Amino acid sequence: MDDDAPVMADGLGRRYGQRPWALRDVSLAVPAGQFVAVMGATGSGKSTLLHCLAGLDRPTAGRVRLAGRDITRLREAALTRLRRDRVGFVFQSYNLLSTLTVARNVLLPARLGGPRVSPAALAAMLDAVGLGGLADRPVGDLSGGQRQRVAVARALITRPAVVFADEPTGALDPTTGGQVLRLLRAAVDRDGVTVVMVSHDPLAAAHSDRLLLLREGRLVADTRTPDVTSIAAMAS
Amino acid sequence: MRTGIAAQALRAHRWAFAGPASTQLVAAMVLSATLTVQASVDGVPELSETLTAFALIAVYLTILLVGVTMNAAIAQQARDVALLRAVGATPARIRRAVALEAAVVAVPAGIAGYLLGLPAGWAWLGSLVDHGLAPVGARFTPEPLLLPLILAVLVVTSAIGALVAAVRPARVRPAVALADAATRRHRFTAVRAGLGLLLVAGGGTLSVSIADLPGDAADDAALFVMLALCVGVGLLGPFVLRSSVVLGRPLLALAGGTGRLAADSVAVLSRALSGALVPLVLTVAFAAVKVAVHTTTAHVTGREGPAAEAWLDYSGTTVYCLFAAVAAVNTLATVLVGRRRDLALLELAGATRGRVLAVVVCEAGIVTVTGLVLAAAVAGVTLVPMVHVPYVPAATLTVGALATAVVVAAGTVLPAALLTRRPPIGEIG
Repeated sequence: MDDDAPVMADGLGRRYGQRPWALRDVSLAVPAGQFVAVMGATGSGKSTLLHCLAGLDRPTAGRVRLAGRDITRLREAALTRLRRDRVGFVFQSYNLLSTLTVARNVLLPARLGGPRVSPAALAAMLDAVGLGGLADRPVGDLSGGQRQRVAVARALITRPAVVFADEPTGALDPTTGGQVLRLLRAAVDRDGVTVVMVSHDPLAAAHSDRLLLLREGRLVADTRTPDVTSIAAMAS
Repeated sequence: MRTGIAAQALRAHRWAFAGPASTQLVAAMVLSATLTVQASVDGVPELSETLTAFALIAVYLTILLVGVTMNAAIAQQARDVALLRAVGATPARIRRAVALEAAVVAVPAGIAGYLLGLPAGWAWLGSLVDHGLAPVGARFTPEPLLLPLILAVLVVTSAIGALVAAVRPARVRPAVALADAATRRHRFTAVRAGLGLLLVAGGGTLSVSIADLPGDAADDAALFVMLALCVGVGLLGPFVLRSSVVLGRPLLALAGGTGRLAADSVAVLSRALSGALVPLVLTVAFAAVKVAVHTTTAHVTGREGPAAEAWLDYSGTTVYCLFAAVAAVNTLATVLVGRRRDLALLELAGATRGRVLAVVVCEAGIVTVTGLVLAAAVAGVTLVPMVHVPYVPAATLTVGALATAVVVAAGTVLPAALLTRRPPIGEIG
């Protein structure tokens, strides 16, 4: 396997207590600059896979390498710093601290000790996601689509190796969802960021380069992303 | 670098800090009253020692209860904590932020408590003089320097309590915290039931076996009887609450749908509510025992016992009861705030605000009656070896029952009334 791949899993498994395996024997490598979509039905283990790959949860079996480091047994504080400095996150909801401004939310990783961000870089990032001029607005005032773009800006501001997105458009309409996905696509094409996105929406998955399909915790398909109709047919 | 995690948490979750703030307020009040009285009666060693003991108890209880209440406050910020952990806050940073939150809240709460403690201390010194415990010439002299001292004590104890409370939530894996907390479920286990029954039976047996011991020895052992019974009742709490719902159903049915809704929700919430039952039963039983020892002696011998001794005993009991009442109110309020969406849903489903509050009042009634019955049982079993047949005047019993109802209402009906002021859709959306 490619040791330089920013995301690697080998025999990955996750089990909660004595319940059936939520994730079983998943091996994969995501090379730099690839946009991967993970699909599967509810309960197929796609969020569990994302959490384990991103260092938000620890696997019960197997190993995970993230941004060049084996995180399987990395101490919590070191793992946190790795996430802060090399990884970006976009969740479906509860992405932001509601009483902080747009700028403060975007600067959160930096303020937690991550890579420094110059005022010019912040302004450029906000412009790039279409939020120029809204820096000092509390995020509580923003629309759902604007909030998700704040989350994308926060995920990208540290120039991460990998961005993990968990249903980033799940709470958005197709138009605003499309804007968010194009931002992720642009980060891949322009800056060579690696994106791993979980989604149940074929329209969202169509923005990716590669499609992974999970069923009952197992990886059942791993292909180049086909067109929307074929994705929908595969996922159903 | 200053991150403002604490400041954001204090702004975004203002209500979550009512618990620690109320604990700190009571602690500052007790410290302010005892230390000012102590400074005012300088030169009466025995009284001075008792007052020091009160102050130390207050410090100890503050660490404990700020920890407990901060735990609930952290739980309400779980989503934010998970996000911060995901994007780069280490467990240590979360712990520091939580300690800072508790310390920041301690300052206004401490100032308010110090000021409220002054009139309380003044009244208390007056009663101590009346009972011959303090010299007639003792004058109540507030000492402004006590304020910074009390604030310092409060900030340090709050930070310690909060640090301990934050250890577990700060270490939780972000993925676990991001998952829906509602999917986690606890069951009333056989081990818990067995241990509860064992403690209750043990307490009862001990009570019978020490009945023939001489006075002082019986009094000391009675403390263990009460502790065993209270912990046992706490362990059996969910079962006891569900049983009282079963017993009370015919009565509640008289209140129609409101009563049935209340019975159902107490049965479902029995585990969470039983957390409030322990401080409630402990306080009421402890107060009942303290009062009954004196009133029974007076009733049997036909004359009052040494009034001074009784008065000091009551003073100490008041301090304990204040803290325990704060703990009970907070636990109840935490349960209620956790149900804000359920209450909003009830309103959206067609219940008027009055109807929702009526349900909460019924629930409060179930908890109050259950608490009183349990406390009476615990106090009764504890008192038998001490006084054989306890006697408490009806008026005193009524006051105690009313006080219990007020405490329960303060933790249920009051927050429910405050929460339902907003349109229900605000909670759901």
